Amino acid sequence: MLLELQDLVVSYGRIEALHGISLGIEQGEIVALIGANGAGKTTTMRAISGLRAAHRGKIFLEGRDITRMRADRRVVQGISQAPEGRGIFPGMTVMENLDLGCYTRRDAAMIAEDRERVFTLFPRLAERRKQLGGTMSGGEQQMLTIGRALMARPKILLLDEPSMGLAPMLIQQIFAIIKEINGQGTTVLLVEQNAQQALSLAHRAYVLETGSIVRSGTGEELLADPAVQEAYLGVA
Amino acid sequence: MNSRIKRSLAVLPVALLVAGAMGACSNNGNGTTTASGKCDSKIAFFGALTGPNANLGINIYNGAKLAVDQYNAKNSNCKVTLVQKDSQGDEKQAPALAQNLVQDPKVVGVVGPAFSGESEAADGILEQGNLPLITASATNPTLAQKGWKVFHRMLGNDASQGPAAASYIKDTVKAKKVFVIDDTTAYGKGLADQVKKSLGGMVGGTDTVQPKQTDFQATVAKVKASKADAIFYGGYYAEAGPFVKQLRAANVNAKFVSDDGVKDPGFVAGAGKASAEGSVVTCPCIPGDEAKGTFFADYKKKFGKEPGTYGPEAFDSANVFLDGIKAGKTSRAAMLSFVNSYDKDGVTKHIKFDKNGEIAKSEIVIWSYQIKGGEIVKDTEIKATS
Amino acid sequence: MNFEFLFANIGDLTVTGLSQGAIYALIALGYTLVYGLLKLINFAHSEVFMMGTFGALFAWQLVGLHENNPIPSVPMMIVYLLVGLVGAAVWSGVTALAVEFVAYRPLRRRNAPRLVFLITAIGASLAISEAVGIATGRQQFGMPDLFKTTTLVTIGDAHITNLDLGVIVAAIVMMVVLDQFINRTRLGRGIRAVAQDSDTAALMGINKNRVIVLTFVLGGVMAGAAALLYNLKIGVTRADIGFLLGIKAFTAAVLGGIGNLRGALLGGLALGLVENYGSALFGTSWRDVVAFAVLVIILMFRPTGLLGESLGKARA
Repeated sequence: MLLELQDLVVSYGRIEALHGISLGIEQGEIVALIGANGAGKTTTMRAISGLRAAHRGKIFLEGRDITRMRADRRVVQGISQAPEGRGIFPGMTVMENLDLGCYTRRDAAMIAEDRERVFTLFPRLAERRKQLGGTMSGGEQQMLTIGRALMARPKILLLDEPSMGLAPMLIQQIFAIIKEINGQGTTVLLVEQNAQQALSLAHRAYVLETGSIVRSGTGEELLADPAVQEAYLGVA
Repeated sequence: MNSRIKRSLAVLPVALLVAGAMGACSNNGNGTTTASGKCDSKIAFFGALTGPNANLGINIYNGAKLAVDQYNAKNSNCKVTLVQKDSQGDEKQAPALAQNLVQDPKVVGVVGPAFSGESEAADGILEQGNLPLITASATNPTLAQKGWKVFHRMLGNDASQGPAAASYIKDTVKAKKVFVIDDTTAYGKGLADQVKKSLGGMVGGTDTVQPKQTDFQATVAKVKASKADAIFYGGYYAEAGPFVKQLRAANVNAKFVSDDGVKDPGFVAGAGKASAEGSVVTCPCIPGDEAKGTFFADYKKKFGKEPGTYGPEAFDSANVFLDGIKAGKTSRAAMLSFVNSYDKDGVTKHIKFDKNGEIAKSEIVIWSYQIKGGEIVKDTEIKATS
Repeated sequence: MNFEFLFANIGDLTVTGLSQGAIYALIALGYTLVYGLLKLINFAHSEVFMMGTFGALFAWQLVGLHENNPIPSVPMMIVYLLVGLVGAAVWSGVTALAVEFVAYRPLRRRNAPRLVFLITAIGASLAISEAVGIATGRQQFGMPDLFKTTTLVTIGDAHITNLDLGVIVAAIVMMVVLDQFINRTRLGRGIRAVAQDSDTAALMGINKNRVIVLTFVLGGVMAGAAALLYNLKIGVTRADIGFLLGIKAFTAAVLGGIGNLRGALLGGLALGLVENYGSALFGTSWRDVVAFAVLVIILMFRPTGLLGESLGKARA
């Protein structure tokens, strides 16, 4: 198991946002976490990255307990997140944003290689190296967020709502790229409201409802599940 | 709510620290022992022992301390205590300290307050307590005109020093155009006004600076533009030092003439030896080695250095009170009438106060001093012209 | 209003105003850096500066240079300048760090509200100033002369002295170095990232506390440089000099746009000039009144200051 959550509880003040969730991701998988607004998807991602402290439960990376590890140390250990809402640095150029992605790395040659790889995946970023992040379109910002997360050369890539607010054409494109990234050997944990796309892409998926995992299975199984269809796929 | 209280508690140590630091400055251990005979009388020193202009206060304290120690050595069965009230030279601190002295009935005389500004703030309170005072340094003339019966002054005031400084500038410096600056204090402004009056048409520009100011750029520019060949500065050494340094740095070479408040090695330290060179200060105080008797040698032996500005005057002031205590005047009222009728030679002059508490005109001396090689050396005695 | 005096001396007033402003600007950087990062007005920064003036003095005394020493030779002068700079920067830097570790970090760990930080900052400022005041007997200390001030060039009616030129050039060099550090280096990028979005910065693997420490040190070193220049220009120091200069430097930071490095430079220089022109026009006692009146007027029209961006958004 590459990443494992055991009975994870996270609270905001007195309000419990996650009521003890457990999930696991194997090396090389794409795993999707789907659910409605406020189900606790982003909280889960923040807890994995270390931005939210766990109240109870444990998080393991490659069998090692990282529950109490600081957020910045987790990046060094191989967890990289492209946060929701395009968490780019608006006052910095595309290049500076990408350079921040490899802040913890010192291997100049490999960094150059990874940068080329990102530019190959997202040719738009190569064209706009010098542009300020804040002045780019929503789709471009999303590409930058993902590209930047890849610059850390992570063992596991956390993608929080990569399709949010994008035109259908762009969504297709982003999901294709996620598949490509996974194909190159990076494990992906994907949080999505767009359940249709996410389930078609993912090897396995979990359904989160008000802070608890209510279902899990392979992508196809859940796509075929009538309850999932009714709640998340808009099928009557 | 609980967590909010905890957060507030986190600030508490800092708040206590600050309060503690402030408290430490005003902790006076108000010893109120019961009266028993006449052998527990106190006299007090009132002036700056710390603060930017503290050297002047320390000189006075040392002069008074020498007198008290000599007295105690001779009267070991009936010693007098010298209380110290450090005003930091700050008139805002003065009223509380004066109150404090008034409340201690054993205190029968005050040497001080040292500066004119703090005198204005404190003397009225000492008057209410009927506590006699002799200042060895506060030279603002108006202090004697406020109807304070307890006020006495051991030296000439600025109504004498001002004209003397002006005649020095006219006759010795032979300046044509004088720029007059004051520091807005009761002392500095009062003296500068006297100098302006005496110089009349020779005043080629005026400006003011603030106490505790360190950057005098703007005033330097004005002096420079005025093309004056002499400057009179009314104020204290803490500001005069850096002012002269900045003047010389701007290539203004006008003769710098100032007053007793600047007559301190602190002036040379602030200005730097090179910039201070050739500056002149006047003072209604006598040079230490001009004092009569063994004062100069005694002081040097006790403190390991020559007496500073006002040291001899402070010694005389303390001795007036000590003579009073010796004569059994241990109540304030008795002490006051004793001081008022005092008529005896001191080390600086023959001491006899007029009805306003001023020293007799004939006894007033004004000296000029020059900075030479980083030392303040006596120059000449200027005859008081008024 | 003395227009005649102002125009007759505009050159000299400009030169001395700029050199005074350069010192404000260097101190203003400390306020702006910390504000940009933590949205905290570090009122104790004024004392960080004050400690620097003593740091330089101690360093000089340590190498045997005293206030009444004769003016040293040129090579020795350079040595003494460097010794003074190191002394000032170390003392200022250590003071800045002490404030961060003793006062602010414990509060951050407890997630204390803003107001508590503000009160702590004021308390720390008072505590340092009072402690130094007690330790030094509130005395004033004179500085040794390192060189003789001479007029280098005269342009029109402006006499540019080696001192004023040195202060202005040194301050601008320090600012450029800092600006390049913030905008061009990896650590500088880290500071900007935390300033813009500290959560996302953590996702980049940036240790926020380390960045905060770095920022306090940078602000401290700049204040140390300002302290050295102040010692050379003003010639005396005291435990209570921090307050007024701190207020002025804070004003400069706000004037330029707090959180903006280049704004601090612009604000500092502008404040120095306005003060000098204002005191020429209205009289020296009006200097501070004019300075603060200009601040209010500028903030009325440009509420975020002259350049008005935050540290994060400021771009190379």
